[in-house]
Amino acid sequence: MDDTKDKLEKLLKVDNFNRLPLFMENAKLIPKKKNLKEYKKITVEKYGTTNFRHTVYRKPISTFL
Amino acid sequence: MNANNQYLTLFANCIPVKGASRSVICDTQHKRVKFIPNSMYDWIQELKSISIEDYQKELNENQIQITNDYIDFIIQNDFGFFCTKEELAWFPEYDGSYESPNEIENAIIDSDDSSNHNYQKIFSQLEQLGCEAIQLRFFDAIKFEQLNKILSHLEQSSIVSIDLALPFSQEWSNEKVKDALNKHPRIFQLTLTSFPATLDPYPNEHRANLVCSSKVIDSNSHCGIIDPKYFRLMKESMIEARDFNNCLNKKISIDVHGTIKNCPTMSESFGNIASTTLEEALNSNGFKTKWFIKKDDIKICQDCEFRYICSDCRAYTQNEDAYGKPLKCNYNPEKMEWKS
Repeated sequence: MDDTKDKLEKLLKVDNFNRLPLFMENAKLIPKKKNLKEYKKITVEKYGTTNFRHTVYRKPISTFL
Repeated sequence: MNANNQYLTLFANCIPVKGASRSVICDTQHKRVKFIPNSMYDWIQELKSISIEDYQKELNENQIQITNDYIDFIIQNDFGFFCTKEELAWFPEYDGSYESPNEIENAIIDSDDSSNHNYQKIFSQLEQLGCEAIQLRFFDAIKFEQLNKILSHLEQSSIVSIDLALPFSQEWSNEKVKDALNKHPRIFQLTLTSFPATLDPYPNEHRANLVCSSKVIDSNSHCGIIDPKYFRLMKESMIEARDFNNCLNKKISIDVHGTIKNCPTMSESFGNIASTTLEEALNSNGFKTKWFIKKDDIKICQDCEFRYICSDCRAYTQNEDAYGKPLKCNYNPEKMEWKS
């Protein structure tokens, strides 16, 4: 945890606050979702079984227009 | 800032891509693309392991001025930042491996008046495969109540994003469209095709995207268009495009006859939904083969600076070559031109 704190403090000195989430991701501070079972667990915990969220920006499924 | 003893590094989500005649920096966070010369792309690659001071040692005055302009461009556009050699190691590039827990990520289900799909069964099988996004394309008119009935199967579903394409009919007034979008918040986009030129397009004021198009979409042959409007600046899809086909990877489709395919336009069949489950089709020989045709393998696309942000089509290709350029792409990366 100390190591994480040091990293974050150092990262902040880079003076780009709007990139902070990315820094954390780059620094591998956000764990990856590894498998479907774990992913479903996270989804259900966070959004509930009947709730959902839109991926506001996703790739097109098909391109016909 | 005196940058001479510093390293300059790009934010990992600002991804440079080199093309035949020019390069781009794709800022996947701020959703913008900036063109840069290929010489600047090469310079960015070299700077990954050398400080600015060391790099400029061997340069003449004119070359130093050019690299200073490059540095200004990177900083002013917020594509990168200065750091020390020690800090440089903290900012690795994305490792480039695309991982997804979903066996299938998106699906297309086509139907016309001759179709007899059991949507409940199809949706249930898609859920089992982890599919989150589906596209329902109707080539013949569909009534509001019919659509409601189909979408009602998804009210408790883990399929969270629905694209709809259906032909305009008198029944589909603006009020009816509003009703449908309010009733089914999972709808991500509703495209009304064959929209009459005599009508003003309905206002796009919903949480879902509403598209009114005069184009007649009466079969799957209209698909496969490559156009900048379909470019997607997402780091996930850029990483995916490096290793996989960014149209077909983790996609499954059912055509109007119930035939299971990679894409409804393709001829290769993996069974019929009436007698084969989607999982069986997915695991059958050859289903995943096309998932691995990546942009770097495709002729002409491999030289295109847009290759990781654009879409792809394997159904219509030049010379019907499995690795041919998409037939409906009008971009020439050598000349940097879109033909109209």
